Amino acid sequence: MSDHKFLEVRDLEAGYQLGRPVRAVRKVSFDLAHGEFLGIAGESGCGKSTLAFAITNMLADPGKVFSGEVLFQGKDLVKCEREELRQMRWKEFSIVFQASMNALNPVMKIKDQIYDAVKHHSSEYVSGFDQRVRELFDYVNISHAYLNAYPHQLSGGMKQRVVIAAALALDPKLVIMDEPTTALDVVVQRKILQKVAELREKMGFSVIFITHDLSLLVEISDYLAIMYAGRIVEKAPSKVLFSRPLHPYTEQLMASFPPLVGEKRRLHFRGRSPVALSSNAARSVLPGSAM
Amino acid sequence: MRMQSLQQNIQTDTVLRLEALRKEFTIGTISKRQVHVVNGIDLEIGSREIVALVGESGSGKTTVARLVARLYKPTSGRIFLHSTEVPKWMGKRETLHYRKTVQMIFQDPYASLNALHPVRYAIERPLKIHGLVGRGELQERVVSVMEECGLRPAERFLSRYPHELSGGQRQRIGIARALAVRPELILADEPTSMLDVSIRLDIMNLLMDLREKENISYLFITHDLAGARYVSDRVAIMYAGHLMEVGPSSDVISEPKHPYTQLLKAAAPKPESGTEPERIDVGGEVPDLTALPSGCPFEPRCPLAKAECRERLPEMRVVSPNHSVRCVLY
Amino acid sequence: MEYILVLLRNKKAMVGVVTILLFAIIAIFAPLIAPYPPTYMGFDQVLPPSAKHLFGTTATGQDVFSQIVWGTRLTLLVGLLSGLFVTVISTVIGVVAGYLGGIVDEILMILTNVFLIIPGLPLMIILSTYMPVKGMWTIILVITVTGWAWGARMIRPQVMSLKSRDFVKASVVIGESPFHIIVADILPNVVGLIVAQFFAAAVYGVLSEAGLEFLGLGNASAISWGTVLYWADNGQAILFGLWTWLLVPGLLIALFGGALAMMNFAVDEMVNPRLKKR
Repeated sequence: MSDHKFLEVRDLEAGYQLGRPVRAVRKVSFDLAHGEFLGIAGESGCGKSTLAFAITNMLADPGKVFSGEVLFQGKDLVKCEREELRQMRWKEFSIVFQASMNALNPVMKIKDQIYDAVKHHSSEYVSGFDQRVRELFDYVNISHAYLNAYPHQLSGGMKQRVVIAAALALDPKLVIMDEPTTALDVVVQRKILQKVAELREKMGFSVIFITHDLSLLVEISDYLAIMYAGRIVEKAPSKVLFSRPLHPYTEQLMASFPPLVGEKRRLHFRGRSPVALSSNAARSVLPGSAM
Repeated sequence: MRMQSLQQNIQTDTVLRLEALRKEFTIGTISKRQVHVVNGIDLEIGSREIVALVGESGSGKTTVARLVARLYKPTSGRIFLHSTEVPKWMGKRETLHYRKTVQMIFQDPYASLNALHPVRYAIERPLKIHGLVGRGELQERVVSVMEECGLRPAERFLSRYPHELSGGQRQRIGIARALAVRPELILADEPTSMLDVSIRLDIMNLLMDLREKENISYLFITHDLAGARYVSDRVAIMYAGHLMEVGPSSDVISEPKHPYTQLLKAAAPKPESGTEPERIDVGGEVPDLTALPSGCPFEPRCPLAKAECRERLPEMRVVSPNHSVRCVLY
Repeated sequence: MEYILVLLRNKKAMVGVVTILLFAIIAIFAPLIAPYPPTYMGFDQVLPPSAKHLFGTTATGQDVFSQIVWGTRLTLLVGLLSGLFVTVISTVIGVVAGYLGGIVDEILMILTNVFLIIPGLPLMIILSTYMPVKGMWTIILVITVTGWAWGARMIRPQVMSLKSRDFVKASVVIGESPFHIIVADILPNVVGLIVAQFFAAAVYGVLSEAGLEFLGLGNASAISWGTVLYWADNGQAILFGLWTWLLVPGLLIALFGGALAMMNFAVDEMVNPRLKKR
């Protein structure tokens, strides 16, 4: 590991300014090295999506970063100017959002949409784009015939692979994925994750993978961080976290997956789930003895 | 009709029997196409039995539940409730009786409750419709059902609106609504898919507890193989509207016979395995339900496919007691 | 109800409500506000506006201001009543067609489309001409018959989309009757649309009333803003330079119509963001 950490998040506080500030991310700190795969797991309302947006400084009004630093290759993204960020986005780091496949423009060809994304962030590949986009499609195993297709002609899994391919277009060093496979079936999900792992081997990028599906993360990530009510409650190499969780919440979370193999027995989850951080629900969700 | 119960190896009544159930939808306005969603399902559910119907999206599993719930009419095939055939058209009294016997829990805990009514409305209605409460007993009954479903103290929830409750709490209201009429069969359509991981277990445990207490059978629809194994006695694997494998859940899942079941198992996350994640090498996309092949629908993606797989659909063959597979390999 | 508070916060709604209330007050207190009986013909004819006659007098020596004040009653009544009837009919037809579907839907849609295609004004003219009795109720009837189709067409797809929602399916599964589902599940979810419809229909009603009266197809001896316009045109107001006689009723009709339209937009705004917030 080099001295200059690849990504350092220090005491990040972010949330939404709704009259009074709602803190969705509280004093979050973690490090990421080159080529590492960090999984961030948490249930609904824990603030993980806000974290994804906050790290990349993409929180739009009323969202904002209240304090903290995000040192990406030494540069604080929180303090960056808009123009600087735009130049870095897609080239240095890229993001795949939840249900990005629904963000594809239904009246534009796939090829043109990727071209737009590429052109907006860099002059690289503008010539020679055709070759690059074919390369990208090869990465994700989609036939070149679909270059000239429209989004509705592709299945959910294919669309998501297109979005991932687009995110890799400019060889970013960091890819952040927020629930990229949630809406997809288990077989498609597995194939996409396999592909991401392959590409990571080949291209060497780091990944921050955010999801509520903890069972998935344990298998694919190097490190795992568990989020609860805006804070990271535990962080460890994934196999360690699974076999020897220290925080009670992690313990319970790990214990709530019915096993596919091995002994079949009754499981219990004790304790309360994190309260959603939207101001509405925070005021009025009632704690039942069983939630 | 009697059948072998797996729980106690004694003969029990069949609560539900599906015979060659089929459903086709017609889509398109100018050029119409037939979508073959359910293609000949034979399934039985015994008293106090939980049968999981497992499949991915497009497998037709939700449609099967809706057919049994009489939200759709079958294109062909028969449904039997306690050995009596359920007629295609039923009068008001028969419909009401059916709806007292067969109830449903929906996947989306928010969409399945009317946001404009307080949550107690959802439970009051079935009690009133079926005349199950006398004067002055209504609130008492509603409270008792809610507490049975884990909402304690129920009084605090009565006047709340759905948006004031968490996903898990809303789903408990949905379960209470189905439970209120004391049905014999509950169709649970992916009841935990939209809930947080930590809640899923509680809900599955609740459903199992209710089975013990109230003698309810379940048709548990899910795409999660691990959840199916946890909750069910028997599991039925569905693909492109056909049943591919049916049998005791522990058997089918620990030693899957059908290649598709094997694929599902390989693709499912197994954090407890402690070894490197399994690789799956399966290509192809899900089948087009408007143009199903005449042979086995899984053939294009099956690593063990033979020439004969494309010619005709294999029969369901029994490979061990209560365990059948639809594949030429058996 | 919280809805009233939301309404009060919306600027458009406030403008609309204030204007309508103002006109309602004028209508209710007409006998107290109007200085003279509206039909009294004893004044000098075609007088320009003055302190004694704020809007001047007509060609037959009636005080225009008093006519306007008293005319508020009929205009408001016809506008709001016809709006009400149109809304009721279009809601019933839209909901029944949308919920029941099948052959009922097809028949009702054919009916709706027929009424939609026939141009409104010519139909109104023809109907009014052949009506034996010409008066307020005739006008209301004619407006209702020609105006319901559009609302039905708006409500039906909303009902159809609601029908496919899980909570409606849940009601079916627990055994609710279609009637109860319509009343308890469907209608409360289209209330916003219906209320917005009402205001749109009321605008239609007000303008149609004015139009019919202006064309002489109403009861010319009744007093409403529309009849004042009719007589102004008939009495050669332009020729005499009596701009108040001609302009004031027209402006007021436009104002009232505008206020109703504001309410329509306001309700639309209220209904939509709530759907999005969910």
